[in-house]
Formats: sequence, structure tokens, C-alpha cells
Amino acid sequence: MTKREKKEFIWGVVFVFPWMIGLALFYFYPILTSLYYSFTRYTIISAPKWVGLLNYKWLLTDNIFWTSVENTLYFMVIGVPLTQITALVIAYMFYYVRKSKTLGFLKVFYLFPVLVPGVILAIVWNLMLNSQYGVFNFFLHLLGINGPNWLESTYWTKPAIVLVGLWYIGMSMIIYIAALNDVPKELYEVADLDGAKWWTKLSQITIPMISPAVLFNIITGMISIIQLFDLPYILTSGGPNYSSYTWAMQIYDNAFTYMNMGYASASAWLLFLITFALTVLIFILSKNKIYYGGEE
Amino acid sequence: MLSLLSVFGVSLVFAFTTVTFMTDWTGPELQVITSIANQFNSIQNEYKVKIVSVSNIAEKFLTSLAAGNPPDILHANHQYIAPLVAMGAVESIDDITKYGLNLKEYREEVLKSAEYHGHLYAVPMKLDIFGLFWNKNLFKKAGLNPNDPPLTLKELKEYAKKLTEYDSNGNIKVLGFDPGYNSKWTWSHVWPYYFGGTLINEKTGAITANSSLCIESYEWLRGLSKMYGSEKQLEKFVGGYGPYWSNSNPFVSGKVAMTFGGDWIAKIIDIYNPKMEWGFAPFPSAKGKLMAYTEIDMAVIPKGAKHMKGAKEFMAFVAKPKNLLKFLTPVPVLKKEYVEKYENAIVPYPHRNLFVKIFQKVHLFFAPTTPVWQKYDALLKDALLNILFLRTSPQVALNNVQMKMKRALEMMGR
Repeated sequence: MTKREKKEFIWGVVFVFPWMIGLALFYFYPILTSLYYSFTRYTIISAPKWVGLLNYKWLLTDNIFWTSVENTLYFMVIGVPLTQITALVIAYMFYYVRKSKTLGFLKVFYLFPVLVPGVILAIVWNLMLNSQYGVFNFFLHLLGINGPNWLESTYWTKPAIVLVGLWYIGMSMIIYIAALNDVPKELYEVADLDGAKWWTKLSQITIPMISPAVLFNIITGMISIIQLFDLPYILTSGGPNYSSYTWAMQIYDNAFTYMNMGYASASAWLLFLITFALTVLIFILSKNKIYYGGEE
Repeated sequence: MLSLLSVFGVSLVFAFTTVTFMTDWTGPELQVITSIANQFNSIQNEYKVKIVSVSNIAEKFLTSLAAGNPPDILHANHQYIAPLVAMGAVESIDDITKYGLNLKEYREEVLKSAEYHGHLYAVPMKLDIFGLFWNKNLFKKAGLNPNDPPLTLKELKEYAKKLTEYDSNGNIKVLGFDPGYNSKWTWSHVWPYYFGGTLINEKTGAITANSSLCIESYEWLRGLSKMYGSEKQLEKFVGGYGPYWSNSNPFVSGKVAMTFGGDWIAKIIDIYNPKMEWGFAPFPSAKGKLMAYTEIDMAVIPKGAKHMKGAKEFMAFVAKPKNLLKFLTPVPVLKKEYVEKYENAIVPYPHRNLFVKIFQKVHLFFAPTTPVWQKYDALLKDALLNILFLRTSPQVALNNVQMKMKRALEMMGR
């Protein structure tokens, strides 16, 4: 390193140092201490007592924990593909009418739910999904369908929460619209010259070209769903009969309701490891399927 | 410089020690405790009590405790005393009589609920009495005497059957008796006591969720649900419940003819449906004993409170009969003779006579005292709702609760 490079490096460190302190204090320190607490019996008030792997052993034999994992997996496996496909379809529709300013303006309405705090949306949806007086069952009744007990039935609570989640497609939709606008038009012109049908253009040009955006939305959608808390907490409190009880709620209850911080930390670390493993798996599975324009 | 120093010195002379009182009270109760605090502040120069009203009090208290900065006084319901003591989160206040508090003024069972393992941990402030509310108009409509509530559990079931109405599609229109179908407002732990059972062994602290009397009480409730209809019918009916504190409250709006709840239901009726004719009576018990479930609001001193002396002074001041009688509750925590002695201090409360008349006849009981109350309450609530909605049998549900509670205690190292 030359003298000048060394000087520049030192000044760089000086400028990022305050941020690094914050990161260390409010990010790495809590993460590492939670790892330590996961091996202890800890109620916050008394000093942590080392119990080794006992919290993890309790977790793996706790059927409420496994129910929360199953529910979270349901939301991930059903919710993520459904929301991404819906967002992509709507984004494609807006891309198709991109030349019309009036129709293009309608994008804004899909963003409104993203701007409203989740708790407020959940309260509004609680009223809309009321099985006797809610708007949803009113319209279903007009179609001659006997609407389900959305939030009281153990069978319907999860589909109800997935339905509410569809309101949040605004951000994914915007990312897809940006990706669609970035597809070189020459590719479509060449495909038209070759007589390609719309399905061929969609599957051989559009989808591959927007694949990085799809990957990004799937990973962020998965991470967001795996931490799902506010919607089921407000709508159903995790019930009935734990049918909508998520992993994040299990961590919250153990930490702040039952004051079992060590057990909650162990659950949180398992959640982190699973999220990390799933993210790595997605990257591996998508390795040859994602087209990066800048690749050599 | 000299003037600055003198100003500083003068300010020190007149400096108060701030004593914080953390509560989740809002509305009238907050106004009462604030006025008591203002009065305390005005009669002495050493302490200034600051009332801090918060939501999610459990989480905020825990955070403050972890940060080493807890409030000096915490408002807690009595069923949380044992868990707080088990966590080492509260101080005992055995010496509070030195600050002028007269423990003999309290009803014995109320004082007992503030004790745990032979030590006093809390000062009781306010009491809520629970029982059976009924809609007199619906009673008349069903051909029942509106002034005669059911006196036995058998009668209650018969009344519930007569009062339940269905529409032409077989959907429930009016429910005869709601024991707690709404998950947010259900007291799952009371029913075994009305059948003569308990949820813990008072001597050993052992959990007795699946004892025969507990199962019998939940079987009775299951019988009610079977009488009303199917799981789907009940889910559909309960799905139409509105918020509790609103004119869509199922009892206040006339969708439920009889309900179990606390004396505050009278306040909800007065606000949202003042023309409703209603009655209140002790909930019938299996053995005919007149009894009433009660919840008590208490004040405790957290471990690590910086101004314990000030906290005890204020708690003793709150416990003066003329201050306790300011709380807007139909029945105070004091013995009858003290209520009569300080009658002039009683704040006018609608329907007070109705509740007092009943209160004087009943034996009070409380939520079980156990260090794992939060977990027990959550498991019992889940079990009760599964039983009420006919998803499982009481035997299976309560065996499950027993097993999970055993685990919870093992996890606590007990």
C-alpha cells in the first residue's frame, strides 16, 4: 500500500467508524448475546444460568413450536408464489399499457396498502372478514356463495391471512415494472421477425430478462413471510387452536409473555439458520436460471 | 458565578424526588389515581409522584427492568404477583405498616391474595366482581320471569335452551348463554371453581388441570355448545361479534341473552345501550354455594426501584380508605365496617347497590396463584375454546394442558 493509499484508507475508516460502532452495539452485540442466551435459562431479571443444549432439545419436542413452523411454511409455500405471480401479472398488465398515462397512473392505488401501517390494515381486514357482516361475505352472498368463517374456522384462518397478504404486492409490482421496462426492445423485434408467438416471447425473452428481479422478490418475500407477526397477531391472535400461530409469534410469546428469554433466543436462532439455509438453497437452485446482463 | 451557585443551591433545597407509578389504566381509573397522586404531592415536600400510563405494560415493564430503570411502583393484577415473585422482579413490602398502612382495613381474602409464600408483595387498590348478567327483555320474550335468574346450573342450561333463537336457515340468531366464545374476553380458569374444583393444589402448588372436577366443569360447557348446534354454526355466530367496548358487544346488542363477565359490563351498557333492562346475580355453582370470581388491581414495588421509601409512602397513602373509595368500582377492597365509616368518601357509582348487595353474600375466589400463570392461562384458554367449539373433548384438552404445564415447570427448573 502506498503512503497515499494508506492515508485514504485511514480517512475512510474514520468516516465509517461511527456507523461501525452503531452496527457493533445495536446489531452484532445483541445477535451474539442472544446466541449465548440460547444456551441458558434466562428471565432477564435474574442472571442467565447455563443449560447447554436443553433449550434446543425442549424446542424440538414442543408441539406448539412445530405447529408454528408448519404454519410459517404454509404461508411461505402458498403465500410467496401466489403474491409474486399476482404481482408479476399485474406488473405485466401495466407494462402492456405503459403508453397510456391515465392507465399507468392506476399503479399508485396498488402502492397505497404498502404505505399504511400493517396494524391498521389488519384492523380494517378484521372488519372486512367478519363472517356475518363483513364486506367479503356480503359479496360472496350476492354470488350465491355461503362465505366461510374466515377468522373463526381453523381451516380458513391461513387462507384469510394469505388473502390479506395479497394487498402488499405493491412494492414487488413496482420492481417488476422496472425490470420489464429494462428488457431491450430489440429482442422483441427480432422475435417478431422470426414469427415468435406471445408465449414464446414471454418464456424465452421476458422471464429470463427479469429473472434477477424475480429472484430478489422471492428472497425478500420469503424473508418477510418467515418473520410474519403483525397480521396474525391482530387478526386472530394466532388462533383458533394455533391454526394461524407463526414462528415469530412463538418467539414473541416465549420472550415477552412467558419471560423465557433463553428458550425464545434458541427459537430465534433456529429461525435464522433456517432462513439462511433456504436463502442459500434458492441461490444454488437458481444458479443457471438467472440471467445477469453484465455476466461475461 | 455566585448568583448561579445560589440559584443551584436554592433549586436543590426545593428539589423533589420523583416517584414513578407505571399503569395501563386509562379513562376514569387514570383520573382517580392521578388525583390521589396530586393530593399526595400537595401535602408533603419530599416526593413527587408521577403517573405514567402505558399500553403493553408487561413488555414495557420488562424492558425497563432489563435496563435497570424500573418504575418505583407497578400496577399489576393479582394473578401476576406469583410470576413476578418467582422471577425475582418485585420486592416484598412486609414493613409497609410502618408507613401508616392499616392491613386490618382490608377484607381477609383480598389481603391473602396480595401475599405469596408468607410475605406481603402488593397493596390491593381496586376490585372487580364477576357474575351472570342477563337481558330482561329477552327473558320476557322467551316467557321467563325477567327478575328470576337461574339459580342452579341445570336451570341455567334450561334457560339457555329457551332463550336461543335460530333463523330460517338454521343459523343462530340469539345465543342463550355465552360462557366466553370470544377468545379475547374469556375467563377459562373460573369454571372448575364453580364445580368445587381447583386448578392448582394450594398446598403443594401442583397443577391439577385434569382433575375430575375440572373435566366435569368443561363437560358441562361442552354440553351447552352441543345443545346450541355444530362447530360451524357456533363459528359463524361468534364471527359476527363486534368489539367488546362498543354497541356491537354481543350482550349489549341483544345477540346474547346471558353472559358471564365483570361489573364493568354495567358501564358498557350505560354507555352504549342505556335503555337495556338487565340483571346481575352470582353465577350458579354446582354445590349451591354462593360464590363470585374476583380480580384485583394491585400496586407492587419492582426490584431495583430507586425510591422505595417514597414508593411505600405513596402506596400507604393510596391505601387510606378515603382514597380507596374514590376508585370507580361498585365494591371496594375494604371490610364492610370501614366502608360504612368512610361512606362520605364513596364516589357515586351507578348500580352500586345491586353489586354491593350481592358482594355481601358471596364467597370470593381468585385466579390460581402459580409462578407460571401466563402459560397456564394461555393453555387453558386454548383448551376451553377447543371444547366450546366442539373440536375436542375436555379429557383430551385438559390432559394436554396438564402435560404442557408439567413441561413448563420443568423448564423453569421446578
